[in-house]
Amino acid sequence: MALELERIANHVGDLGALSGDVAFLPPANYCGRMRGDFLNMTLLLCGNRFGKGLVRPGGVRFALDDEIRQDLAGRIAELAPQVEHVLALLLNTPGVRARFEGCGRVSRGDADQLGLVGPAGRACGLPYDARRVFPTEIYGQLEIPENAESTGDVWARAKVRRDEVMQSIDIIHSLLDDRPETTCVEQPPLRLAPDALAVTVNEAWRGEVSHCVLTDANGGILRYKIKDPSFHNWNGLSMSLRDTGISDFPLNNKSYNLSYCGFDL
Amino acid sequence: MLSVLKNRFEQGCRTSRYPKVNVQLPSRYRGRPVVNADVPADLAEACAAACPQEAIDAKARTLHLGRCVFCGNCERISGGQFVRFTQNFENGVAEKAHLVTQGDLPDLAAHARQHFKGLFGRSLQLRQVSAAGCNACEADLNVLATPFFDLARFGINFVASPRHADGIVVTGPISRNMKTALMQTYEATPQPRVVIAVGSCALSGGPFRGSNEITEGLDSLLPVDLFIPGCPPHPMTNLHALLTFFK
Ligand code: SF4
Ligand code: SF4
Repeated sequence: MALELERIANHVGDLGALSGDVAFLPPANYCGRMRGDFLNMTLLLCGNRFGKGLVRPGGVRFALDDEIRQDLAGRIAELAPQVEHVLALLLNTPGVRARFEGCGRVSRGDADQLGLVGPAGRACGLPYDARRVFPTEIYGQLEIPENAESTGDVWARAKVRRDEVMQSIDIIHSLLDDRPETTCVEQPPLRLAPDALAVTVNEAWRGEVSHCVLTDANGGILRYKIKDPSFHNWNGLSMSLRDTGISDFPLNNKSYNLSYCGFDL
Repeated sequence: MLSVLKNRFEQGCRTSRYPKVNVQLPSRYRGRPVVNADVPADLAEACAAACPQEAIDAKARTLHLGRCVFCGNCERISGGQFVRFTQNFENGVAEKAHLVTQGDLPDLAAHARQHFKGLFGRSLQLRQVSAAGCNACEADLNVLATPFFDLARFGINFVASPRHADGIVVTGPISRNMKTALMQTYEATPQPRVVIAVGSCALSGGPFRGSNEITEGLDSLLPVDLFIPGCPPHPMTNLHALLTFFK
């Protein structure tokens, strides 16, 4: 649920930023506010807007109680139609559509060779989504659609995000209704398996995040490496910018919204 | 057009009435910690040992707000007996020494540089320098421009160049590669200038303390006027600190 809240907050924020970049200010402001409302749901869950302190080795540190469940359900019910309407306003406005369509196009073949991940990859027709391909936790029981678009332009990157926002809202709805049991883990003294290599793959809002840890004979950490989705997607952005005017840079840049420090992580 | 108006109507006015009306944060929010000095030594020591940030001084029974990442370990271990996190988001301080605390921070307004109030009280332009943090601090500064907080209504703005700024706001642990850029930004800001450190990273190196790639505290490079603790500080913490210090 935390992962989906994070996805919604960031996608909504990104769509608002795209709107601002084509000088269509109403959705830009509304999205900025709604993004905050989703971050505040994470705050409600674990006391931090970015989910810091929530996840610990082996599980989570904060469980949903009925009060929080109701509060969350109420907030989502209030926000969902607003999100839907604002995003419809954004994507149905002819001026916005004219700017988004055909801007920064990347072909499926190029995207495949560059290994684009997340919404940027899906916008080019690559259906890869770690939630579907490597389902962990409860994802195996959820229907995650493929969300593949084919045009590979800013429009496709925006549309994938809009679709994912609405799906994530549904996922949270169903998780709130299903009431899965969460048990909290306390922080035990961490004992890692000696001489081991572990790799994890998760679908973060930008795409696949991979953590890799290598331990020594005593279970101490020898190496720890994080691969951020931006590592793949910066090359997609440079592909988008081939032979385009400089005025298309900001829009393309926002449509990927990559991490500057994530590249060399 | 109709759709624009319909959305405008549905969105309504979202701007908070803060500071006239206070903002209540949820119960799990970890704001200012309060330390109870009357606990057995072994409990205080257990908390200090479990703190990933070496932020707890078990003997003095104090907590270093600049190092703390508000993970809540100490509160859990002591069951709230030794350290308890309150919903109070007013955490900014003007002197580094004030960061070491038992929970009663000195009045920020009284310690603010009075001449800054005259100079910048009505208009304050700030340049943000993101120096290798995780980006959460920057994100929660950024949101001050969204309708709920609406920082611009207080005459405070973030600007695109240090040449246009009255001061800098620094986030992140200032990696070796960002140091030159940070110093150049500082030099490029016209005097008199303000320096604000935001987040555990900029205050002490945060989770990166001990690495030789970073700077353990912005104050070792520049004279810092305002310290805002948190990981990241809640936007209300930033807003409160800015308003109290400059208004
Ligand atoms: S909340 Fe702060 S003081 Fe307590 S354990 Fe975490 S970092 Fe240390
Ligand atoms: S203080 Fe915390 S939130 Fe801020 S940049 Fe450092 S790690 Fe990130």
